[in-house]
Amino acid sequence: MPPDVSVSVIAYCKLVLHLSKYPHCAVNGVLLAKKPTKENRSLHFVDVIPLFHLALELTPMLEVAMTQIESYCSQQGLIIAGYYHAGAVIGDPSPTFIAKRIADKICENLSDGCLFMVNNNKLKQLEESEIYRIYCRHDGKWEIKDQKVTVEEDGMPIASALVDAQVYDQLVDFDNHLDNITLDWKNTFVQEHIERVVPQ
Amino acid sequence: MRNRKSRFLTQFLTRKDKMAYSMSVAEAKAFLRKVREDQIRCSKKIVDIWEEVLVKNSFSLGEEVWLVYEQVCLAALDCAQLDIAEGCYQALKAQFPNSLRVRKLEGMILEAEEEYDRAMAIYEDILEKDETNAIATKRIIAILKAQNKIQDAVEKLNKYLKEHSLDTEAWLELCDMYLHELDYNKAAFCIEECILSNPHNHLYHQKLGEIKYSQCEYQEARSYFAHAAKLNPNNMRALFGLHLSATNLVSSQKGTQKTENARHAAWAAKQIKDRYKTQLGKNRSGDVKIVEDMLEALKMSSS
Repeated sequence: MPPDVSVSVIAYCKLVLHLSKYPHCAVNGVLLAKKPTKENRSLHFVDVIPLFHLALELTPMLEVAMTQIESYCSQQGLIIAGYYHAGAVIGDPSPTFIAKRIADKICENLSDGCLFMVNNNKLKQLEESEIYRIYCRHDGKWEIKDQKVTVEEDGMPIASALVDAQVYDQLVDFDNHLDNITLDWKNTFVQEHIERVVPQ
Repeated sequence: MRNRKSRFLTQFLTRKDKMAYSMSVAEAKAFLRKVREDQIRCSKKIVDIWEEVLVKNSFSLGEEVWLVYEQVCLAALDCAQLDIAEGCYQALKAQFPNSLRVRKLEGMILEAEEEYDRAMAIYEDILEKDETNAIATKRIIAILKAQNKIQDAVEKLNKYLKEHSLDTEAWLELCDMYLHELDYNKAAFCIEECILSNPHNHLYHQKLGEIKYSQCEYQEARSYFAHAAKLNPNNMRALFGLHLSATNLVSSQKGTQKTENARHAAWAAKQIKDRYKTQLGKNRSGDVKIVEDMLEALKMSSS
């Protein structure tokens, strides 16, 4: 049985903002989780690092990004446990060859790693449903995970509100970082935006 | 839940109002002209400026108004604000009833409505009247792409490039389509065409390096990355690529070649570190550490 999955509000918002910043491109990124233990294998995704929007099929900058993110994760006690992928066109969101290959790589470190395939159609109704379908590895194949709700409470309306406010303009992915290394792919500003809208 | 949501929204709407563009008509005009000439894609801003500043002052644009209508129409399509696009198109159609350039906008509005067959018919009609109309051909390719008919799009684009072999934009598009199909050899060929017509553009050399590296051809990748870094010493992708390909070569080689590549890798690593240190400064020493750790990790994996 694959473990339960939960996605924090901040992780969900960063994923949605990345898609909204580049609606005309295929985009991808990774999801970071707290290190699971032997007793509790459930995956709680606490953060997202947006990767690319220019060319998802080229490997050198992916290696650069992954190695940097790994060293960041080891500082923070996190682990790369998921990969998200959104195609450029609206349509069938079943896993592509590249998506599976990158997700396979993540599973080498963590066998419970997940693949999040984005359904572009759902971007129209951000408040109503989660925009991805989750796949888990089972006997060497990627199979749909049977879990409807993964995002923490209020994640969807908050993500939708951030998109309305065009917060995505400020989102930085790894392509942006490589164009200008002073731009920070950790996107800490998103947290501040969420805190501003969520009544504490 | 519903109440909370509406509370978020009111907070945002009030903030959004403050963001409104306090631009004069002259400034707005100048901004749109600059964006048009430099071909910058900032569609949302164009539509906002149109709606907030120019729409009630369109008479002050003089003859330029037609160019602005066309610009706003395209920007509005990008933002899925079809009513604005339609308004601009109608104004242009009334002024230029026989223009093929205006006809193309009609096709693009249909594309935005996913009326692909009707849009296709318009473009084919344009090509009948003017068979060298490059934009109509490109729109047809875009429709095929939107319908996920990548093979057909590739075929059509190849045919187009036989007649327009200097169109680097089209070569880059074809390159991306081949990459999407994971045909790295043909993708590399497209970039070689771009290099032939623009031998001093560092981005082409960098991209060819990235393709060669993806094919595990590290020797070739290294020389393309090195060339890109020479043409633009601040191209970070080229520096990282040079470092990665040299590091990979170190682990597979022996003797002088090995020491040579170790030297290349060390040089690139130093360039990368220096740039992060000077540009990020002391406040972000944690981020510099991440990059240093990364370079160290790559070095370890090669030795």
